Amino acid sequence: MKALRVAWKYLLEFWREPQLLGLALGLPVFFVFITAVGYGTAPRLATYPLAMVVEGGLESELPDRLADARYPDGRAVFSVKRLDSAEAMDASLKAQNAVLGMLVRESLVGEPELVVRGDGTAMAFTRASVQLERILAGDTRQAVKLVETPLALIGAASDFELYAPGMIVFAILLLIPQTAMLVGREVREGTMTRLRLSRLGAAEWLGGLTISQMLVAVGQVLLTFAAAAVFGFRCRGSLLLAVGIGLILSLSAIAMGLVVGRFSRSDSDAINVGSVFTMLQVFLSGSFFAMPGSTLLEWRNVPLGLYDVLPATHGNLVLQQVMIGGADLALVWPRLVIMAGLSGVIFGVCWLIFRR
Amino acid sequence: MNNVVLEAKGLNKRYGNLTAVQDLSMQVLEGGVFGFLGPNGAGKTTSIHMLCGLLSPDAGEVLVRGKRIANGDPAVRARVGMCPQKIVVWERLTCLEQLVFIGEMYGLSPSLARQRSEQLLKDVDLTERRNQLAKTLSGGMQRRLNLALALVHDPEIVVLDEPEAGLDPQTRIQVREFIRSLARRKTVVLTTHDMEEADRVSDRVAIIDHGRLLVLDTPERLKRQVGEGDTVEIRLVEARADGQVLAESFAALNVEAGLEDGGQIVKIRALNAVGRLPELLGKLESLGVPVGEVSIRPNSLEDVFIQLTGRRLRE
Repeated sequence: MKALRVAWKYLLEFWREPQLLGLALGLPVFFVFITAVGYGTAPRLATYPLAMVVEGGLESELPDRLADARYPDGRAVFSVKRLDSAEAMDASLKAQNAVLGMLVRESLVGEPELVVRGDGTAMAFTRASVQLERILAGDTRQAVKLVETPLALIGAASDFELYAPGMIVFAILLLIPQTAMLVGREVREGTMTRLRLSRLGAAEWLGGLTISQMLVAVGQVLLTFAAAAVFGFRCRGSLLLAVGIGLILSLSAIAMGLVVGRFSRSDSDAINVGSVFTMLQVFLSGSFFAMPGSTLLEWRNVPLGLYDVLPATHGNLVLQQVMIGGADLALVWPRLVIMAGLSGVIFGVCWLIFRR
Repeated sequence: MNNVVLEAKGLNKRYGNLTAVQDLSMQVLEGGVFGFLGPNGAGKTTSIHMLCGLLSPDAGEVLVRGKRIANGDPAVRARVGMCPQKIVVWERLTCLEQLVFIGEMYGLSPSLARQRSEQLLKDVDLTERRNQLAKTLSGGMQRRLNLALALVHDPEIVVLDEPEAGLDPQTRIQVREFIRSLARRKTVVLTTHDMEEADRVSDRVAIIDHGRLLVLDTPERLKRQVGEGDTVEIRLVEARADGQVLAESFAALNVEAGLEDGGQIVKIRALNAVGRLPELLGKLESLGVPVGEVSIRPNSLEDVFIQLTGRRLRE
């Protein structure tokens, strides 16, 4: 009962703190917007603009073959634009009117050769090259047949959709600076001493604070999901399971926030140090960019590497599995168990720090 | 009436090489105001934190009605209410919200916590501000709220750490009146470095310095240790160094005299100093000492402290 009153107090304080409200609820939505605009909401199986030049008097059926190439759902792989010269092709690539340039010319030994050009750092070039390779492989009549199946159970996903689970992880990890700020303030302003003098136990206080922040986490997940949905995101799995995953992940974020808050000397200190913890985990967990990693051990067919010591790594993976791949609890439970265990360890540290 | 409600037995506390409190033993009796005095840095706050159960002593123990407070039953700790010197309120909660909240944290039912909170708001004259966030209150109002927060669970002992610090004169009078009314119902432990404040409200006084208890008695008895009567302070036109000569000369008049403040002030203790003032000034004149400003006041706890330590409180 006391824990619920503590939770209510923190929610009231949270609601009356514009800085925290903005941090917790505004920032994830803003990042969703930035990601949607930056990566685009078009499906990943995009039609790539291709600039093509066939030099000399060479005859080639390739332009027509590429223009006719289709994805399994019937959409064109390339929109082919024929140009007169290699220079015009380069200009088109530089102007980003095309993601891929293709030059058919005669080699030094007199045979036709294909030159493919593009920006190697652009994801679109890489993907368009893969599609090109697939079509050309078919052209050489190789035995291996490339069958492309989307990861999602329902249609193809856009780049933005692939990043949406990462945004939810980011939103939840924002609990670190926000919890640090609440707790740090309680310690510095002496109100923690008031609570210590009362008959409130350490477990009740930790429980109350955790409940309040978990409720905030639910709000963050739903708000982030809603913002993503506005930009076309479709959750392939159970939203309820996604919220549950978010709640388990929020435990570790709250615990880290408690530790940071205990040692912060000011609100800005709590925000800054807490944000460092957030951003480090966002990047290392692969929520924004996939991180390279090596498998150190395996448990229940789950490969575990260096970054798997972070609960957020598991949170990001299972959210992707559920929200993009439509996975259910039966598939993701081993990682959920690992994530809950890691969160429990961090909470244990909090208990040692905050026990009376 | 002479029941011991709070007892410190051989308390010791060290921070590294610094001894904050050394062998502190004292008893606080039921009812009235117990003044706990000492200069800044004397060890008052450390002692108070141990008395409230916030801090564990390195040695010794604190008993509330004979039961240990440190690491013990929270119910024992809850018999003490503490009002810290610094204003400690939840800035983003209203006056009523935080009183009810802390009441519930002490185990009161929501209805009782609310009832007590409303009464306390009335007692500290904050009823009209009950739904106002604490951060929007003035400093004086926040201090009154600070006081109310220590009382909402109706503790048997109330520890007030420098309750008048930083208050304007009007609020100081209000707080003082409130402490007096409180002392009629509860045992109040009042820490302060303001000897006048302690003298006015305390029934018994303990003076602490360098972490050690120097004396513990009623203000009247302590002042009597210094000497009956009044203190005359005479500022001299020129500083003098012959304190011994002055003391011997005034001894003939059966009064105690000495030089203070680098020979700038002659301090004389005498019964009926007002009536004897012409005689005292005449003595100085006969010694060829030019006199400047003269002041007369009754003996105070400050004098007790000076006699005990050889220095003023704020030195």
